[in-house]
Amino acid sequence: MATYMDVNLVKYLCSCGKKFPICRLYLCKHCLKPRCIDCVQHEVDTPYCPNCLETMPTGEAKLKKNRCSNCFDCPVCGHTLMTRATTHTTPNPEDPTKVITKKMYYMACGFCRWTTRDVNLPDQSVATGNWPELENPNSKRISTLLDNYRAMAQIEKAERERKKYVKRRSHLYLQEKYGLPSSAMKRKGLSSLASLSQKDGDKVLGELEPSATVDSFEPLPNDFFTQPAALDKTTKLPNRLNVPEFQPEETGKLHIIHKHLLMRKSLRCKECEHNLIKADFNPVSIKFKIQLTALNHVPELRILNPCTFTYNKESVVTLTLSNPSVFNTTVTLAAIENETDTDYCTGKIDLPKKELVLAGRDEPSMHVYDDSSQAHLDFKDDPKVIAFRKANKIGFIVKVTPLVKEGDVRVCFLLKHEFRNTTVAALQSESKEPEIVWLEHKVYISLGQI
Amino acid sequence: MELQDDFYNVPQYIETASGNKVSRQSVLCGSQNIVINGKTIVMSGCVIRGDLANVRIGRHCIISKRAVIRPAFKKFSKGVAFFPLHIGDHVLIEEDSIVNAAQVGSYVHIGKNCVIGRRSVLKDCCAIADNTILPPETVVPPFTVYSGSPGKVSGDLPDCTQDLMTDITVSYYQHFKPHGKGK
Amino acid sequence: MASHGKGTNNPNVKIAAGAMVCEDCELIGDITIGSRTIIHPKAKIVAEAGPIVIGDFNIIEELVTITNKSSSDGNSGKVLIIGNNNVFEVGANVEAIRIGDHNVIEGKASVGSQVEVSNGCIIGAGCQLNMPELVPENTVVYGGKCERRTQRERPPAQTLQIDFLTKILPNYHYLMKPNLQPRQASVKK
Repeated sequence: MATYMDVNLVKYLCSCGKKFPICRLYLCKHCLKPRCIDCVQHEVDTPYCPNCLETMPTGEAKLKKNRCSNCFDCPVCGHTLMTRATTHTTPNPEDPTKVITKKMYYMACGFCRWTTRDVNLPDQSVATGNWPELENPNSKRISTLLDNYRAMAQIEKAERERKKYVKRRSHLYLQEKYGLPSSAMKRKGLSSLASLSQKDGDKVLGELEPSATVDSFEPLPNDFFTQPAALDKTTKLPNRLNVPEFQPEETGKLHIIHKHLLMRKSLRCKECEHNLIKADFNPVSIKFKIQLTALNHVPELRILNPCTFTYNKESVVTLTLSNPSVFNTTVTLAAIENETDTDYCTGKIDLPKKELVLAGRDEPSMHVYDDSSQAHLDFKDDPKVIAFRKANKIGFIVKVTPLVKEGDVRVCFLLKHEFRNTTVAALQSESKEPEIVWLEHKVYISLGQI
Repeated sequence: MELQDDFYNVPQYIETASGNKVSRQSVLCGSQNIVINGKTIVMSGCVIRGDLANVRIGRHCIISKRAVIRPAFKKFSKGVAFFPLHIGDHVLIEEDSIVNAAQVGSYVHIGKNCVIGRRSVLKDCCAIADNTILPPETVVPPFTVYSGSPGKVSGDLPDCTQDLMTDITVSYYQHFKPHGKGK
Repeated sequence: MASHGKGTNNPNVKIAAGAMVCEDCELIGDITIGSRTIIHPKAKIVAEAGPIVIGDFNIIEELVTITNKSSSDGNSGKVLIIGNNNVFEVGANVEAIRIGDHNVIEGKASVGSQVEVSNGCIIGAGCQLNMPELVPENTVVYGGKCERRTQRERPPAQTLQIDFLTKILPNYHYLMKPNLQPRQASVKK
């Protein structure tokens, strides 16, 4: 996994100016720029339940407050509850000598052993359990408030649309916020003014009674001071905050909690609006319809082994570069001129001046561990620069001089590499041959402690 | 950082025709019920309980020291049954972890000192952080990281997890070298 | 059973008839194992300070260590008594003063040498109990902060699992020969 190899030692600079390990970056094939999770547009593809892995349409998920209708969490420890079956025997009303056996179901937590029986919820006769839902005590107030905000949004929108003839503005934001019906979004100009007159809105707004301040509390009952605290009957703070609408104070009032959904999302480049990541619809699948991760397009730089440094003394460090492309790729390294982030570098790096050629990635031979290949002869490598060559990977030597007496030795440089642009547009313009472009990445490396 | 070489004593490991490297200090109970598909490393102190039910481990897996792979049981009205345990390809199980799962997908990383509860299902491309206690019957969906006790979602994995895990498990196997050779 | 291998090398280990003790486990010191108790391979039981007496219908899984630990005053001769119907899951570490009946010590849980576990308790996976105490009946210890609650019912007995294991373990493992008559039988006589 990502945590296994200290991926954070080598970071690439995203086009937005943040540093990320290469496995967290994307490469937009259309803008030819690196993108990171913070500078792309996130879109919800499919909400799904992490327990039953059922998908739910976005609209339904919104209606159900992004919770699964079949899976429940334990109100005590938060683990998913399991359904347990028991047989229930009741005497037959027609023939008292016989008994009817009925399967009854209850829910139990496999972690803290809480059960629905602990709070006297009766067992259910169906496995999915028609568990009673608690009604939010404030639901009426919330719905009046929501109605009110919706009306307010309508009014504001109407006003804005009146101005729209003068100045065109984006109005997407508010509409999304209060979930206006889509038909209202489509209506343009004066028609929406006609459908909702200013007076209607004023009426709704007028009806809303403002929230009242509470200025006196009932004093605590005497028992609170005289009786020993029943800690086993009192809920803990996380138990209460799990259900903000009820906040039960006694363990007897705990209720099963619908499981929160997770979502599959797709990512979109903000500049060219092309998809960078489009996951498969099925939440169990690990395939992607579109996957433009940088790791598949940009040569990956790593440190070969841990090295030791001495202040102001040149040390030899071996770095490796691996080529994700099936073509041979040429890479050049250069110092960053007029570096703005001067705080980062704490060492001077002496880079190889020559171009480095990386062999293409050949999937079938990847799993053959033949060290005797003659590849290094084919490329006429300078042994002073190239430490080794193995399939699509090279190890090359750089010299690093730390400029600090203690702490991390960090260097940065520019990595330029060939990139074959295989997007449809590029293919059409250049007769069949993919266009070769040079991409530049700023690379920041933390080599180790002094 | 590239993985570093890890040397082992040749007499302490058995290498099979399909490239599995199994420590002689591991305990494989009911070995006729254990299938290891190839290029998988089983280190010393591991216990794999093939006697309870079939265990199938895919290619390029790493079962680190003192890990326990144990099929889980379920109680039915007429007795108990142990469920066969399937582990996918490119799975890394770190030291001292106990895997009681029903299924572990491919490209899964289980950290050190974890307990994977009975009949848990770990889908492809997921990770369990060090010291996690996953309660029984937990489902871990793809691209999520679970941590804590009880284990809960605590993060997500990069979209290229499949490539990362393949790279780690393959290069681990390459760097797992016999003493005195390979250099 | 044909697969019963050589007898135990330790003369101080007393195994009741019907117990399944895999040979591939470490039994050190004076240990008594009750009838129908199952000890998986790679378990380790060390009677260091005094004898360990394990009751009936217990399951002791692999990599479990049960130690009767000697305190500072040397081998005190105290006896660690483990009741009936307890389950010690993979990797549990028990040094307790006493373990009652119907308890579950889950995987990687640790019960310290000054702890007494009553009946019907569950010590959750990875939980550690180190302070001197008597764990009250039906307590569940769970989670990263070893939180506690009391459950309504004690954990069910694992008779079905014991039946199953009694059937299959002899097919795969060499077992230690029982050298004690079952207690129930002697009472009837």
